[in-house]
Amino acid sequence: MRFLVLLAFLLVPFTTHAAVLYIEVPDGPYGPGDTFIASVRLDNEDECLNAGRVVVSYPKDTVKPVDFSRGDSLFTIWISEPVFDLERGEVVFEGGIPGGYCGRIDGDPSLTNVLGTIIFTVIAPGTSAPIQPTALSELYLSDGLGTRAALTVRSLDVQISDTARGVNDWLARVQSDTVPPDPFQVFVESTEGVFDGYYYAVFATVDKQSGLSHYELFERGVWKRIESPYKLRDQSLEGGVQVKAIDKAGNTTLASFDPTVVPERKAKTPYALYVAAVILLAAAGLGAAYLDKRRFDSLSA
Amino acid sequence: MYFRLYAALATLCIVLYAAFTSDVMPLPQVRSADLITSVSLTVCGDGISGGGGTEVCDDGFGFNVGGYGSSTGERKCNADCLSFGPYCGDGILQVRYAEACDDGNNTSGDLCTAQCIAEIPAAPPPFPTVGTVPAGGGPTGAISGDLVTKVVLRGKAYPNSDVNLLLDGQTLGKVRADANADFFFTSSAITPGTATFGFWATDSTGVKSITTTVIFDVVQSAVTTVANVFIPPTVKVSQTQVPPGEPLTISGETVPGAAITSDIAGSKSKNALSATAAENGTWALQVDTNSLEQGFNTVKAFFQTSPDSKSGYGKAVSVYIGTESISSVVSADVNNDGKVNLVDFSIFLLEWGGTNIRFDFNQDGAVSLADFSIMLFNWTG
Repeated sequence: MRFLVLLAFLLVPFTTHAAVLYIEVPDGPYGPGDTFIASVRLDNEDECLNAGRVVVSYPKDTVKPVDFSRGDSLFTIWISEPVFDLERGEVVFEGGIPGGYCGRIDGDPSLTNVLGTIIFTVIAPGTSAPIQPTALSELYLSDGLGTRAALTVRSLDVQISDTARGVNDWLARVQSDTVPPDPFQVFVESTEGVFDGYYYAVFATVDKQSGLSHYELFERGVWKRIESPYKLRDQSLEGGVQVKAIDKAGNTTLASFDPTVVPERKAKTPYALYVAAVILLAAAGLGAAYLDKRRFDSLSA
Repeated sequence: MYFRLYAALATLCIVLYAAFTSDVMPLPQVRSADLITSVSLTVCGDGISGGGGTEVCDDGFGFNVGGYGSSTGERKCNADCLSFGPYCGDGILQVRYAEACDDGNNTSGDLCTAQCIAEIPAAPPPFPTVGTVPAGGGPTGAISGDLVTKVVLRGKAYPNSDVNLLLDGQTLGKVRADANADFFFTSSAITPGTATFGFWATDSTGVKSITTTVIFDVVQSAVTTVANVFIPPTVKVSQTQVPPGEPLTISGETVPGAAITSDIAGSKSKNALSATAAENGTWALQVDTNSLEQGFNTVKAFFQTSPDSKSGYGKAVSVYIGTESISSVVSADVNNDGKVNLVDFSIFLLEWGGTNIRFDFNQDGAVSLADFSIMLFNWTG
């Protein structure tokens, strides 16, 4: 039967082209102290793709990642914050596109194929810095099956010089960003088996210029940095739920939970009830054992 | 003695039950193969007209101000790039702009001059009734230029259906398709930059479409028009399991009068069948299952209204030709509220990297990117 199950999946016919991950950097050279923007781009090669993990390697003795921007990214849902592995010289990020990305549409004035933007600073003189998505990267077809797409990666040698040009493309981009993150909604949910049925907040938005920095929630009189989903401390919801999204330039967008749509709380059975049940069962067991012993004693006598 | 016998029988029953209930084939989720569609984009303000046939004109950034043109060559594009402002030669008498006549051309000698001045002196000129005509050929700039950032989306779904719109994965709203399945959406509240619009609809029988996505750059201070956003046909089958030889009906909804191509694919062969949608958008095909491979087959469809206008493939469904028992797969709607959205994703994230089978949609033993991909495929916002 296992064979048949496997066969059932294999029966679905498919063909796979190789999507291409590549890096684009404005013309150099860049010297020590200069900061440049490396865009990780996707050539989908006629495939529809909807999720991926991208691993980008860089020469850690020459350049150092200092920031990451989601501003132009095709990804609108992010699994986690991008990770800078300074030891290995890798940047890892993962996210997805609901409905999938099937390529640039005819007439679009931009390439519109950026997955993520990494900001590097040159830390040592040299001649070149090869930056490349590695074979550890994964992309998935938007096929409802979770099929891993064939992938090709292309390296880029960024020109490095011995002297700085005083370039900081990233700073210029951040300083020109006066647009706040897109408006968004805060949902408060209660789900059986999630946070023990306690209320939690869910939210997400994007910032199309410098990119989203983080979220903050107003709780107990202070703004606190949080991630979605977040288990609320105030389970009465009386204090309201306010979340603000902050972009890299410091622009903010505030969103509040609509208190007219409070979901029913999937209350967990109180812990005390479990304790009481265990005590009762233990007492019953001890009682039965005591009665057994008395009967045994009386029969022996 | 009897107790042991009963216990042994109970254990045997449990083992047999487990064996029978676990030994069923899961119904595979099926892929939607790619098909290049007719979606196109135009930017009103880039000075290039055309692009999918939606733009009629484009005078460039800041120049699409409408206004009067003294001839066909001097006509001015309106702010939406879908039409010209009034001009001499458009066949409409523009009294306001001092036209005494307009015969639809700029040729003199045909009773109306190239400048729309009447060539019969006896004819009483009607234009003096309007006293606000500025000098110099009309009120250039009277129609103010629309320099807001605007997005216009046009497409086809199902007749009289609600089309759900997503912006960057989140619900933006709904628009209603008309009886011809045409829908239209416009907004001036979209931030310039990369935008991901998703569209899905439910047909009259409650079958949800695939989410059709278009990703493009919203240009600042321009009207970005995306045309031919086609939501593919819905597909359903009369039975998910059919014994060989018994008839199978494939049906769904799409654009009224559209030509439907439905592919039924097994591992070795593919059958393409055709149908035409009725006036209410419904379509149906009768399939002789003797012509299909035994085992799992996938059924999917796309529509075409002209050689240049076709949708991509819609969500595919699986049908099993045979007599083995089959079961359903795990759903990406993890909180069972009928939607796959941020809430499901949040719950899914809590299981990320684990092995919880409720979130292991592809049943490969891990909650991973592949499962995330399946969730995004089924996203409704």
